[in-house]
Amino acid sequence: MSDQAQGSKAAQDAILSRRRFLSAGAVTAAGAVASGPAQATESKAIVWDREVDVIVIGAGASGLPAAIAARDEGASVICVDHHFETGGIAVMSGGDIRIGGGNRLQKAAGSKETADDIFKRWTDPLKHRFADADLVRRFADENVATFDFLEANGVNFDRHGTNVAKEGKPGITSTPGMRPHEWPVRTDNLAIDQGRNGSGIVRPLELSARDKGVEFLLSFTLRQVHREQPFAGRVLGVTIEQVDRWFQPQHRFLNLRARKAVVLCNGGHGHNIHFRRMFDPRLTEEYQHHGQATAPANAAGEISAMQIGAALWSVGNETDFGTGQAIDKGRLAVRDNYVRGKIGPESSVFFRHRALGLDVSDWQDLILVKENGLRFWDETDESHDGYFAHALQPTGDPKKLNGGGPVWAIFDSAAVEREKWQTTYPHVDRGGGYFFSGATLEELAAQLTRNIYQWRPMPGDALRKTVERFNSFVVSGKDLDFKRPSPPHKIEKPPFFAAWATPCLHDSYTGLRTNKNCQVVDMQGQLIPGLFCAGESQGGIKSHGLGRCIVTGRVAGMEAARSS
Amino acid sequence: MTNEAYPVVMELVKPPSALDAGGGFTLMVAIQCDAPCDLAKARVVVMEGDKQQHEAALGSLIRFDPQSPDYDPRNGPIERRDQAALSLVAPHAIGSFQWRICLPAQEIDGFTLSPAYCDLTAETQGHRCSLVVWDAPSPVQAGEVVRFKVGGKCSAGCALQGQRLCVSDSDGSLVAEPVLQHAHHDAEGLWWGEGAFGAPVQVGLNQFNVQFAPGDMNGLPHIAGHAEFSVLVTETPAHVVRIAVVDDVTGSGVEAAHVRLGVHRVSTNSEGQAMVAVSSGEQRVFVWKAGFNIPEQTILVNDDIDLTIKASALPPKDPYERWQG
Repeated sequence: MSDQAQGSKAAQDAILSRRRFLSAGAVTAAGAVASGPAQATESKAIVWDREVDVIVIGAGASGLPAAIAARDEGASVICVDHHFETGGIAVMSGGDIRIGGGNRLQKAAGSKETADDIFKRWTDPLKHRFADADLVRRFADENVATFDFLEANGVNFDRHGTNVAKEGKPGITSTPGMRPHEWPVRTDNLAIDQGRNGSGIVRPLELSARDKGVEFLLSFTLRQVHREQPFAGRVLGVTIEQVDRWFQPQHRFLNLRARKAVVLCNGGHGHNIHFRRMFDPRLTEEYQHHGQATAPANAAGEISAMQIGAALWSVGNETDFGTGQAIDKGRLAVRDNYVRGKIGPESSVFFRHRALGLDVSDWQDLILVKENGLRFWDETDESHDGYFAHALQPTGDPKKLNGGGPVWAIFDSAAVEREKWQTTYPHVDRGGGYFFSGATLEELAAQLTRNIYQWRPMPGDALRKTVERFNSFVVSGKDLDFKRPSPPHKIEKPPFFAAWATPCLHDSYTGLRTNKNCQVVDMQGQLIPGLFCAGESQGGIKSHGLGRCIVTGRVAGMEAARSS
Repeated sequence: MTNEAYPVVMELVKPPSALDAGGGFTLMVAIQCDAPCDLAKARVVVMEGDKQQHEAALGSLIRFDPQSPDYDPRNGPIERRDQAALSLVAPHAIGSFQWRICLPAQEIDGFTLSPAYCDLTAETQGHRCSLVVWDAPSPVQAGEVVRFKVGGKCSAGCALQGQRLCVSDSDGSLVAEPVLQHAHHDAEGLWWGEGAFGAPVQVGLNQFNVQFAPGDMNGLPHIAGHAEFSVLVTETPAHVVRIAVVDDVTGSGVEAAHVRLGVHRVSTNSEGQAMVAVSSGEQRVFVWKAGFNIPEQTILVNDDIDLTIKASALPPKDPYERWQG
């Protein structure tokens, strides 16, 4: 049998295995809930429904490695996730795994990179001034072992990536570009556009975890972490609540006891409006968060841990503009509009995404206005200090001084032709209120209140005047308001369109304080026995992508299983 | 079957507060009744005081369905009650009105329903009419005929065919009186026509205003909107500039590049070429094509000239560049 044929056979076996396990997982969850008691309010009153060594909250980029690593140490493990699938947001990721330090593929490519290089990179005084160097040191030292761990658990890397030539340059290492094969079943990948190589990590890890005996409890969300005393003693377990396919609570609870530890790998807090506003008050409800329709980063782990005394850490990372709280200009006409998070109708989560969205090839084809119908910046700009800073500025309504309100792309039928956009299902979300059309600009503006974030009607005459003024700039060749480079196209040919273009948030760069073993630390600087944390719910490392999550997840699971 | 009457509860769902006078609208009514009968057959009557305005069957009910593609709890509270959609016509007179939506006592499929009602209070207003102008050329030469298209839309969907419009210049002088004649093929409810006028003699940017001609339309009150557009008047061109936009690496022409030479705008053809007639003097050359870097330049035009503009293709955007940390 050829290598290719063997690979194909292996992939088919993996797919069959995954489907078999998914069915088994569903039965486990349903059976457990049927006997589930009401939520406990005090530790002494808790009736435990299940008892295992390690409970992992989250089945994504950090949860899956944590579960496997704990199981490898001999612990019994239950992995809980609020989505009905595993993979978190990582399954939609490009698969950018920043782990290097001299792994097998790097050596084969002639790289001399070491763990010290990794450490230097992620503690760079200019770019990573808020890093926790103790945690970064452990992260750096575990890079190679984690690469080996991934390969041992079925992740298939076939190339070193595109950044080999950058090795050795200060601040840039070979680690970006380390990507695995994409999982071969597109519908399992959730995202349709090619290059979603994150699926090549989480799908093999899920299969490996199930093969090793990790139990999965899906469609359950974390409600409470139980400790012996409110702010003292060891962690005993968790209460989780069943959610429906929209993550709505179902008032059916389970109490899970952890003999050794609970590991929080719930993916951060970007979707939790109140939590993210602790770091940036502007990030009000209108800003959507990447992955929220697949696996919302709801801060359940952080909040539950803080309720028993846990501290946050490296909060400066969150607002470190440029690479901190990342904001994306996004695709148009879809609520969850991260530019590389395109979800198609064949995906199991399309019902929450509702549309593919429209990719913009030339921002000169439209104008961007706020809820008041006014332009606010040069539409061709994408800078943090320019476009995003102004997008997040208030619009003048004294009732809403935080947050810039929704941003709408306004364009005409000529722009639709130039961009070759399709303005029908499944490309745009009309029913949800993220895409509108109108014969005139006034009619268009009047419809926008159907969007829940458009809190007051957009004045039709304001929108018309904005467009007429912009069209005069096209005639004269000069944008007198925002210096956009000689706007080439008028917005004049009916029908007119308004498409959701509000900036989309990405990543959480602040989370719980841990020591280098990923054990959670409280506000007094004391370790919380039996509580661990990894990935985007953990503070201390400001690194985008899967590497940080996978490495810390593996460390957390390993250390959790070893804890007494 | 029982002779006991089943109670009925009716409530308006998101009732409108303002309506176009004489305009059609849909009123959503939530209805609850335990009678095991087909409520779609239930008769409803709309009363204004003691005067009946409307009578019809409830029609098929809209039932809550969490599997429906329209269900999305992120968009606010979900109406879980059965709903009926009543198609009604608002009063023709402007002002406030109060209607009572009544379900009289009646028998359906052998089951008796108790009477029920709910009230609608709303205001009627004039129809908002809006205008749009397109295809007005710019720049034009002094005295050249400016032909343009103009469309009008009534918020209540009134047919505006035959409606006269007034186009005036910045001094308020009437320059054209186009008439709305055709239903637009792609913009629902938009009626459009063509107009023309002679371009002003003075060189520079000229603003024009379009309004509905005075008078009611279709016997219903309308609030007339207006629109503005700009036309730039230039001197008579003296020279021709032949422009070729080429990829600086491949040497091939760049198609559909937007070229601005002074106040003139053209797009390159499939060969990357364009031709512009301009007046003498210094002219700013600005070329825009997404994915290319094309420096702006200024040229002196005192004869017909050929101009080659080099465009540097930008490298494909690395989606991970921003994450380099």
